[in-house]
Amino acid sequence: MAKQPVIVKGQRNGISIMLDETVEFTELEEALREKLANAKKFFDGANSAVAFKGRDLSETEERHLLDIIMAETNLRVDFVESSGTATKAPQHITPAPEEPTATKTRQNIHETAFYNSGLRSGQSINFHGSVVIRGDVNPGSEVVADGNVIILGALKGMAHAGANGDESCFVSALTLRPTQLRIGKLITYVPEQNTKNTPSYAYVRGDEVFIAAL
Amino acid sequence: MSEVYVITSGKGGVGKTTTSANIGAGLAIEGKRVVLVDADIGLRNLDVVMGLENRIVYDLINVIEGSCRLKQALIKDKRYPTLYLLPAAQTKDKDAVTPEQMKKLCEQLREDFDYVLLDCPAGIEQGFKNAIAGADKAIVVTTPEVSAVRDADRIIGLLEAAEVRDPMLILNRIRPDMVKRGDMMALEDVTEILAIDVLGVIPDDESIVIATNKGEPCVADNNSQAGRAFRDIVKRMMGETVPLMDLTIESGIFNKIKKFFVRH
Amino acid sequence: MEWFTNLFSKNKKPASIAKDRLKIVLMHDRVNCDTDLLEMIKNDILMVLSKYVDIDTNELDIQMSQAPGDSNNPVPVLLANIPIKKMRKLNKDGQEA
Repeated sequence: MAKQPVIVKGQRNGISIMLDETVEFTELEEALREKLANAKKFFDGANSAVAFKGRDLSETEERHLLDIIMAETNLRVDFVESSGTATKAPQHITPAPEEPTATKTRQNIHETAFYNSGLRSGQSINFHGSVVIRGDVNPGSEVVADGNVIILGALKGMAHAGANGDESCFVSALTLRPTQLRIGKLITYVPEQNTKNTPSYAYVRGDEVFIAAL
Repeated sequence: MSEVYVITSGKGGVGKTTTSANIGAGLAIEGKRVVLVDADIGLRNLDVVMGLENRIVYDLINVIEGSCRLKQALIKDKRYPTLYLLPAAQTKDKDAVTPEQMKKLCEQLREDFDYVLLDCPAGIEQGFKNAIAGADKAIVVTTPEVSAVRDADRIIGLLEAAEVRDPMLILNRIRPDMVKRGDMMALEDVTEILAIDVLGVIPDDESIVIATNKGEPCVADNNSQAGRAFRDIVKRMMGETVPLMDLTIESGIFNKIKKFFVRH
Repeated sequence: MEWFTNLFSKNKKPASIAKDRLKIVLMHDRVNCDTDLLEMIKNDILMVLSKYVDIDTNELDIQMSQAPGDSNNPVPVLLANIPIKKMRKLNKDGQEA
């Protein structure tokens, strides 16, 4: 029996998908589609990280495979790792749906930049996709992203999600006390009494910015 | 007949920004149309002292680069309807502006305001040169310390060289009790050395710290001694003759001696 | 009695110390007498003097200061302390014998 072009393995922190590098990409796609269709129940509704292994993928190829995963399963892909991703940044993630309903379709994938330190006054990040920051965003600093802004720390400076006008984007932080908050074209500031010390996120409904606990 | 003032000091931390905010608010209380320009690109603070930091969308650099109109960048004060702030960019460098651009900006602002107040950055480098480029007049802020007065002297020299007319002195953070004991230089000591006209003396006052923490100027606070001093300064800027505040609390012989000296 | 003691006290008050120091500092600043300039002056003086005397350059001290006695209207003075090791013996032509 010929070697299987696609092998899907469940692992502790996600699933890893072994890809044969000798076969045509279209063949891979077909094999993956088949594999996932058979195991649909297994992946139902889980949040997971996906790792592609065994083959170097171009960005389009990776996106094609992700699209198949999205189409064939109810798996919510939080994080994608390709072989050699250690040197490849930014990576792709899908934004987590704001309300986890079964009918909700996935949003477009933003390219995501990951920053491993906080921002001090005067520093700024400007990125055409989503931004993840591990650290605090201090007063006087700015994060401007066309996608979402996710801060694993306190937001005390200015954050702008959906900077190209996309109001479906969100800003989330472990402590949400921004000097100013912008989503899409909306500009707001959070009154002192509404600031949260618990992990929260801000999103747009209608023409207003709301803040909710995560 | 609008006037463009630069508020400068050389040394940092002597109270330029607080002085700018209070004079601006004081002039606005008098009904003047005032714009405060934060010329400290990269280290903006006037917005925080005014409590307007969360309203900034565009800044001075955006205006100069032409990415927004001047009116879009002006932030209207919460309390005084004729007071506006043009904030500095925080994420840019001082070299992002040239003196010519500042001059042009001041000319534009002059059309809409009675007073344009430029809050100058500390130092004598590019930021200082930019701030003084568009100014007609200068207010030099100093404190009664050797380092601050020395820097003020240097600044006055540079202002004269740049032909900014009649620099006037504000002596900030004076402690009358210490002056009386001879532990702090008095106004007369400082003016004797700097030889420029005095616009005002501001006592070292807790109310300034409290007001700054709240993001409010103290000039409207009737209970604040510093607030009163700023109101006097504003009146002098508008051409009134107001005697210098008597900062001594005690009466008696010390007071008389002091008054004698103040008159000279 | 404070004002009285102020007037006659020999120990100067911090305020007047500050004022005096400022005057000296500003005198330097205003004449723009930086260390380079002082060094040039020093070298020129030494060049002239060493024609006639042997100078101890280690103990040499040249600085800008203030004319003593007039603290209200300070005049800059150049103070030079130049220890002489020995006089040179010169002949009529100014050459060392």
